[in-house]
Amino acid sequence: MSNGKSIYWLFQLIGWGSFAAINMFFAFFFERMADAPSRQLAIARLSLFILSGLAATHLMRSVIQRLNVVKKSLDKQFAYFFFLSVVFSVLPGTLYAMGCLRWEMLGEGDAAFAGRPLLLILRGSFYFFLNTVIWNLVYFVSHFVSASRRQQQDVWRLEEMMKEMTLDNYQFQPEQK
Amino acid sequence: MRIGNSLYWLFQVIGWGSFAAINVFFAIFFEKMGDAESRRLVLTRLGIFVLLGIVFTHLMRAVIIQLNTLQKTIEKQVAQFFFISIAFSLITATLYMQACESLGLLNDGEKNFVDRPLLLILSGAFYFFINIVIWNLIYFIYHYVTKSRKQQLDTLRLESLVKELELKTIKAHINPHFIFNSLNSIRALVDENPERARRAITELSNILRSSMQSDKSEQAPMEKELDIVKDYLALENMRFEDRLKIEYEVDEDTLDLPVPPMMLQTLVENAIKHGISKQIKGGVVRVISVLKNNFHELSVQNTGLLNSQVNGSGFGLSSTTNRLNLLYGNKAKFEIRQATPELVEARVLIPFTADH
Repeated sequence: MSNGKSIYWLFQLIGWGSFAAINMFFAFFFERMADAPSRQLAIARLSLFILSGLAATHLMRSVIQRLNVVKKSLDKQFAYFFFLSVVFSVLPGTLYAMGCLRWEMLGEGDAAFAGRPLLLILRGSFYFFLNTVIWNLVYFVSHFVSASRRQQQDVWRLEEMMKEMTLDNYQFQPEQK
Repeated sequence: MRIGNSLYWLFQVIGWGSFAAINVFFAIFFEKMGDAESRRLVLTRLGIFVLLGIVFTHLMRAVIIQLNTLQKTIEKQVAQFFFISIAFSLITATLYMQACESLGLLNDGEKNFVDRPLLLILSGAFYFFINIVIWNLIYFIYHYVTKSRKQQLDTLRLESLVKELELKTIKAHINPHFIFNSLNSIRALVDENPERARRAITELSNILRSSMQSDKSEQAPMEKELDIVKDYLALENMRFEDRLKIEYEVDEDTLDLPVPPMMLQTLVENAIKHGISKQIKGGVVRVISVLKNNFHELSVQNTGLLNSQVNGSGFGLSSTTNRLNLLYGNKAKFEIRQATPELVEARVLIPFTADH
């Protein structure tokens, strides 16, 4: 596995791992895992959320690479970034809401809205959107930082060339009166 | 208000405004605003959340500026960004929960945990953390983009400076090369014809003066370059006498066209040094300047064979290629070829622009 890929999977693991850990922490302390059925429900919902998120962000990354988004102009990058964030939030949002409906994993508040799946999809998409936006921003920041470092190296290389040539010029310049 | 500040407040309004709108939308559709009391509860809680969010992200920005975070190494930036996000999420959530509790705005779920305020604060901090992380990422990206644009400008500026210096370096190489060859020609004349040698020195000084003036610009009019070449060939004619025939085929329309300074002289010098001087009977040097298919064609033909001319070309011909590349990129062409069994031709094609 290349260095870039290892870092990518490390980020995925840290990001979704932290998300899972924080959710488990609150589910535990807010007594939503008090008995076996509620424990199963919380873990199943969280797993479905994370699996959908992981699959969607991985797919989104391949779309970003396929469309060569990070090489486009800045304005286009932002437009793509926003459009992709919306699409890849609705996609797992739908998957998650339909999964919860199909396997009867709706939370207390959601159960009353089982007859309005579009509303459940929209809310699921909103939660995914927050995560997808963070994911995308981190992805773009890492690429901006790499590009900025390369550019800084270019500036240093050019400055060095300039100094060398200035010295060359002093060596070859005939005296002029 | 400065443009940067206006943009900052625009981002704040759009960001927190969208957040409020989305929350109101879900509160309406999930029937959390059914009666006046629940409407008051939702809107007041949301108002406090957004207000605290705006105030504390604004304070966070002041801290980032104060700590000069953006000027630090990327590792330090990430670390500071993370700690600042956590600190401000905790502070904002503490104030939010205390406000909700003191104003009686806790929801049913939270009321069960009112005896465990730390848990409520942590839960609130998590929601603030998500928003603050997004806020910080956008803030950092905005500054990286601005920095990157500045760097791009710096790169372009430096590239242009390097190009200018490359040209100067090439010119600096030409001068000693040319002086050396001319002095050798004059040395040969000193014993043979001292009177002519004196005139030759005057002509050389004319050429050197033109050469020094040409250092100031990247291009010079063809007419001026032709004068230098005429002086130079007059100088060489004294040395070669009957062995050197000089011919000019110059289209008058090309006299005003810009050409790289001293380039034509280099080609003529090459024709003499590696062509005519190697022929026992001497030969002809023909200078041609014409317009052909939107190109200014500059040719120097001389009697001789290509092999000896190219092998011994040294710096003169390679510098011609470099100069053309620097000035015109791949639009200009330079070639040296055996035009006829007796004639070698060095040909330069310079793109012709209508404004000249």
